[in-house]
Amino acid sequence: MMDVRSDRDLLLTAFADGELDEAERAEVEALLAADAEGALRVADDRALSSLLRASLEEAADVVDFTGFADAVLARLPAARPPLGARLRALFGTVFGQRPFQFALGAAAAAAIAVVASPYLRSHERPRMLLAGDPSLTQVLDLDALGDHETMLFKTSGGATIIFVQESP
Amino acid sequence: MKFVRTLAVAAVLAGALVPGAALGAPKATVAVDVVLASKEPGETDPRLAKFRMQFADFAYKSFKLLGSRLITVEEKESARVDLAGEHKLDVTFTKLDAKGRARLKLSVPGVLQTNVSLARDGSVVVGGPALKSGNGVLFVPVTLVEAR
Repeated sequence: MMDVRSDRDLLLTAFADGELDEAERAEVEALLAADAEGALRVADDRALSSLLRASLEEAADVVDFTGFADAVLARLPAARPPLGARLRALFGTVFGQRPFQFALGAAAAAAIAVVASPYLRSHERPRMLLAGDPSLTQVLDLDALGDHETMLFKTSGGATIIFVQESP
Repeated sequence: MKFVRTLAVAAVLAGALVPGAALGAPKATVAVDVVLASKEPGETDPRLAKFRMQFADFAYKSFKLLGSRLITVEEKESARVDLAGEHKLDVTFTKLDAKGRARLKLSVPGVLQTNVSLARDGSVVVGGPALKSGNGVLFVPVTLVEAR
């Protein structure tokens, strides 16, 4: 019996707070039409609820909440997500929506890089010839062939030159 | 299925990011320039200004860039470059040492052979092979562009 009473109280409180769906609300309204005590209880609950809300709003009005959210966030420790989470955040949209297109694009980029790299490298070459740092070059051995003779020298600019000429 | 897809994408990305040379034998990329020095007066290519200054005492009056080649040679392998006339240059990548220097064997058949150690951007000039036509001599700067 106690449980039935509690259920009725909870139901009326929920009705007073507007927490019931349409069917439940219609059912309670039908019951209250024949239950004067229940209707009085609902009226009391609504009055109490309004009074409480008004009191809390009045109390809140005198508090300055400026910067409240920033202050709360500032108290949170800085958290660096794991690498996997950051990568998912970075690529998640692409992977999730168009994974095959992304894979095709990556494959195409790789193919272009492979094909184009020799040309790119050729443009990176230093074009001023006979320049150089002598420390970058070391002649380990040198042999003249046939009736030739060789000379090894370094220019004042640091270039290493092997000069060969026919023997007189 | 999702795992397989992720694996496939990761493989493609890895293929794009990992240098191809890192997957096989060491390779050396070498620039070979062929310069013709002549005692006949003439214009000198601006890129060869240093040649003109350096070899003024050798009576060479003009320098012309006949061609440039960029070759990639695997370790223990050779590549041949046609210079001019009958002259050719064989470049053999003999070794990549611990400091990243490439050891190259340079050979002009019938003329000379030498072993050099070049760091990146290091250069050695093989000069003097004469053209049989009598129209000057060759200077061949050999520059290590990259080795890994």
